[in-house]
Amino acid sequence: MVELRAMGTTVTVHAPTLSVEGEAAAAAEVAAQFASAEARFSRFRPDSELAQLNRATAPFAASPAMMAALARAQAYVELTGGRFDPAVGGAMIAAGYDRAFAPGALDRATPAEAPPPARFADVTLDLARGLVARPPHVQLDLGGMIKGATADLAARHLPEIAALDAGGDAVLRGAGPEGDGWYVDVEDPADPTRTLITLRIRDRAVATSAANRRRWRRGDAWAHHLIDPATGAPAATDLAQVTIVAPSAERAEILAKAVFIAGARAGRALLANLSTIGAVLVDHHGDVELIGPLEVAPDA
Amino acid sequence: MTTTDERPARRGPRWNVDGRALRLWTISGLATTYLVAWWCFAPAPTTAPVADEPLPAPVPTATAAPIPPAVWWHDLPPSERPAIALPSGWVVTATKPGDGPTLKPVPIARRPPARRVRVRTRSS
Repeated sequence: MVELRAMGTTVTVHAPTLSVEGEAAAAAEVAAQFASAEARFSRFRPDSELAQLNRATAPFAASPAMMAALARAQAYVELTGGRFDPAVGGAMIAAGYDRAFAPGALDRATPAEAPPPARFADVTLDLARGLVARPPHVQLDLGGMIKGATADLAARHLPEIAALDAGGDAVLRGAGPEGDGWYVDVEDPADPTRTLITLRIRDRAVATSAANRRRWRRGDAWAHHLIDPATGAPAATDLAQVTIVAPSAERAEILAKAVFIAGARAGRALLANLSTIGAVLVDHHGDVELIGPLEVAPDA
Repeated sequence: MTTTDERPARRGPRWNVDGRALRLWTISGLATTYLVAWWCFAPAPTTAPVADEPLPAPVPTATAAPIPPAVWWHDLPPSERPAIALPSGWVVTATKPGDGPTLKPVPIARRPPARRVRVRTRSS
């Protein structure tokens, strides 16, 4: 197992079929992949391509990687009925998430400001010419999606049996070190030291969204990073946590966020059309609901 | 008066042995001592009896059968080579160049660790 820091979180590489040296070399490839993605897509680095796009006052000539990411984001906006929308960057800044997160670093005594209304539909993508036209009030944030996408890309550098865990977004290749699947513990959002349920996962990815970790004080209230595009404010939902098992970490990350924001009822409706997606919904009472194809480990 | 010591006449040696004989006696005595010591303290022989002693005849057993002469499979003419059922994954390798398939080195995968690897999913 090799650990490294990237995108403000801990990335762990498990490659049990490799030697210690081979695992370290694979982790170095993973680190390079994350560093490259962070340099391009970080909202907090002034020299990143995304920061330049967010400052651009004229149609922006984007790289193929940026255009591909924006095109995928557009598809996810449609897939989730707008629960995922990368145009919430301005709302995140208004909520106080204007720098890299660290516990306590975003706390403010003043309440959150009114967020500017923005939708990704206001952004024009010219895929043929690689141009992005962004209205001044729209600030883009691709953080979670890019973290998932980078985990998917980086996992290609790993052997057939390997796991890459990027702060809870994990790509699980093969059937695990013992052939009976990777054992994935789903954290209890009410007590992070406890495990709610253990899933057995093969050749899929998992991601979890909750408001219990990346949150900060704004005046007398808590704010968190899961912005509801409909209101521009941190989502107020009947779900405490959503875990999604999907073919890719990018899709798992997007759907976990969208279902969390949608709430239990609309989230179930969203998942009903996605037969390959498994979900673990946890409400504020600690009740757990399993949806879709999931394998629960017998010792859970 | 002249005194003269009259000492008694010196007696000759009891055994009149010259130097050569003395060396022979000494060597003989040492050799005898060595042989006696060897006889008393030498370890018992652990090897088979000397070659010129007749070997005991082997005791026949009920299952004993005449041992056929051994021969390398590759030394037999191809028409006389018996068919061998090999376990799955086994191949007959060459004993000299050009005499059969040559095994390629197979990478050895490291055994997975005994401790189960667990991944924890959470919001981050």
